[in-house]
Amino acid sequence: MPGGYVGKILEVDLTAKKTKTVPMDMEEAQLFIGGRGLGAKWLWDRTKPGSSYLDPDTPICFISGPLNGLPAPSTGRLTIVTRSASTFPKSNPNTTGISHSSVGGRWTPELKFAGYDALIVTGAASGPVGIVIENEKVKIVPAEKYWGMRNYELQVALDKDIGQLYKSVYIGPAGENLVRYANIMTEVHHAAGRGGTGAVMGSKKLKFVAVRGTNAIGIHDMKAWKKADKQAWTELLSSSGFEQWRKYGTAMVLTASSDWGSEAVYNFKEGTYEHADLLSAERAYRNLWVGDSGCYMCPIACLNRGMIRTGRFSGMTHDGPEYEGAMMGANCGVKDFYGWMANTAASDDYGICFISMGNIIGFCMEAYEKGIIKASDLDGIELKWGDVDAMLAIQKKVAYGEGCGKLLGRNLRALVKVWGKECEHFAIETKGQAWAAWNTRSLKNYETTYLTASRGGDHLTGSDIKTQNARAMNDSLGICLFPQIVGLKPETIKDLLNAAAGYHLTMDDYMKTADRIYTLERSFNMANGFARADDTVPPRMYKEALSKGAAKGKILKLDEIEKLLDKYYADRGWDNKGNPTKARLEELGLNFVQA
Amino acid sequence: MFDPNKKLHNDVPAEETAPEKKLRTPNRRDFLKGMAVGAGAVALAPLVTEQAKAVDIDVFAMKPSVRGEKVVGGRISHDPRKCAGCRICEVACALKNHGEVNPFKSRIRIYTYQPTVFIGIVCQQCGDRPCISACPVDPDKEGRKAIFEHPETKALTVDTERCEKCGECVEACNTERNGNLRLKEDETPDGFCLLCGECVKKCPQNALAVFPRTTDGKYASRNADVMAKEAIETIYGGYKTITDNLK
Ligand code: SF4
Ligand code: SF4
Repeated sequence: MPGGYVGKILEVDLTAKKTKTVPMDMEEAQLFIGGRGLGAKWLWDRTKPGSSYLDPDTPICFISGPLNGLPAPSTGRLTIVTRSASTFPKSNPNTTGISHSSVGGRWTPELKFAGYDALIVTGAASGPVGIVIENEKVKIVPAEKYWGMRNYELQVALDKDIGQLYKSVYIGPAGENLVRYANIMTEVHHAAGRGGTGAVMGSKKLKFVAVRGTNAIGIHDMKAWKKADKQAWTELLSSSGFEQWRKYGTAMVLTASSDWGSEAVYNFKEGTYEHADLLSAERAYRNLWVGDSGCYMCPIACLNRGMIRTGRFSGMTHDGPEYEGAMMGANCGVKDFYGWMANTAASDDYGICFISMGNIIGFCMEAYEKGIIKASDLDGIELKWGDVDAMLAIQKKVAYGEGCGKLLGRNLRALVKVWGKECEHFAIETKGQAWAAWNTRSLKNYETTYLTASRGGDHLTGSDIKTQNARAMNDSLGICLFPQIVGLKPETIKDLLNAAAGYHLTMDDYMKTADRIYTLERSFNMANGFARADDTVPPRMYKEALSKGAAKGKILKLDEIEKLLDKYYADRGWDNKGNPTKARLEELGLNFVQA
Repeated sequence: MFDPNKKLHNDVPAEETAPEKKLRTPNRRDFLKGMAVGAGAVALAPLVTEQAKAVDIDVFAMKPSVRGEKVVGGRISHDPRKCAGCRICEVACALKNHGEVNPFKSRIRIYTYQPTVFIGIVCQQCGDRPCISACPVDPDKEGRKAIFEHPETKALTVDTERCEKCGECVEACNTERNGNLRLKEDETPDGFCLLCGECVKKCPQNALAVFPRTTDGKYASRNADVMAKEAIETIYGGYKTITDNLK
């Protein structure tokens, strides 16, 4: 038995109320590793092209990777793979693409300690249910009591009812009400945000999955492991950025990004925010934070526990800010520091992805300013730039699907359809997915990530093939991507994998595996109606130059984007329509794709 | 074909598994040696400066405390203000003392409470030893019951051969102290810390340290719920839940 994996998959069918354990196919595991990779394979195998994310047959897969739980840096990442609720092709709004959403916390190691590499949930329950796993004991329990609870009170209730040592993933009201950018949360602050996975869980009437395990995870070659592990910790802890990451987390780039002109400001109109100093990490460090909080095995602990101690939100606890909080801050023209925190905390509590929410609120604010919509379109809410109370009101409506929240809880394309073509210019999305807080005009080649990410407007995919591949491997192995940004080398991660699972991968094999995973995701999307025409950036990016700050005058050019795509496709071994070629598929061992 | 039922930790090579000793506590020399090695451990070198000092304290050579009490032995102390909940300590302990990646077997346990605080529960080596008092086994000629204080390290130790598996010590720890003592599958007690210092060395947040033990463990060794309440009061005094705040 190779180590790393624990060798079993738990399948739960909510319609039939049945659970079963199947052995992991170790050959498949070697080809697709785990997490994002195996997820893509299983989604390919288990869904029909063109089906909907709401279809009960659509599986939602909670997948660990071979490094999850092992004593290497930051091995707590879970990847949730299912049909996205927010990425869809222009040609067919009824089907959606693949979503792989990654989240930290302590849930995945616990799943492996319970003896499972993955949990696959299919079907839909007739009423609210939860799944409780303790080693081989798996129960589907009624969850009426918890339905409707927000994440904070839900976590407290689960701690009390099920037990302190269980770890849970769950959805808030937004997921229950099928908001298309609802997230899945764990331990109140960790969110699997992008892709609307919460809506898929909500459609299955699955409120939470609690797990606890008492078994060990094996390591194939302990001697090699120790060597690679020592190397990994040394690389990470001795890198120059480490202390800064630990102190501020991603929030450290909030002001820097504004200086570079790469922040999302006023619905992506600008890249530099004149009030950036009001929403800075330094301010949070002085006024909010009480301590670090991290994921399993992580020395970086990029989250910060905090509490507001002054003003009308006094007493509110939360884990912000982090860089993507800019979507709720600069992108909505917010100046009120504490109101900003309250908004991000509210998103987490409702179970809404605050990246998408901030993007949509920014869009509405611009539409409101331009007079395209009136307060009456928003149930009387006057959505002016920076109005944190109006933002809170909108979030509540979205989470509970009340009034205008029904429409806002869908996506930007739905809004453009209702409010008119003129909004298209400033609807900042790719493949339906709202962009995250990096405004690409001032960053060289950064648009690649938004153009080519399989889940649409996604800032984490990476802006060149090498980065994309390395990150695809991270998501598949269950190791966080931040240590790698700080200083951990992909070579060392490869050594860790080899030692843990008994593989003999070279760096070429490692990258080829990533290529395989990435190309399979692409093939899944192409089979579901995506085309080259979906690899676009919103018109604002190539029609409107930045007008302020260091990046003044920067703009994207359409012909350059086309050239970039041609080169990217060619480098990936895809034809100029973006379809993986037959030769490439065969080379990667993806022969089943043509069939 | 691989067998999913096969026990995984067998994969760990034999020499990596902690030797099964009759006395499940290292002697004093091991103890000090272990600490010295730890202080110089390369992997965590950039971090250990502060805690290395804490580990290097020779708890046996300590002077009487200011109040004139004689200090005997040490205990691992956890600071919830610093802890980030990474569970590195749990894994380090399980790996060192059981040769397995399995935090369930760790002698230190991290509990999570909301608003987020992490509480580390580990044997506090209470000076008054309610666990030892509860043990019904007759003392041998050295005056040791089946559960006893190691003569050199002063760490709690069990003699599994004389243990009657009655669970009285566990009961005592659960009702009177933090409840870290627990029964293993073979019904002998487990969960006592042998003061190897591994967790202290590995903690990246400097949240753990070796402290002199207290004569009466009642304060240091309270259960996780009570500790959490106090920690939350200290860290988030006057908090309101997000839900209350957004009513
Ligand atoms: S000192 Fe050693 S035995 Fe005690 S909790 Fe720490 S690692 Fe475990
Ligand atoms: S290693 Fe330190 S920071 Fe991590 S859980 Fe243990 S005590 Fe807390």
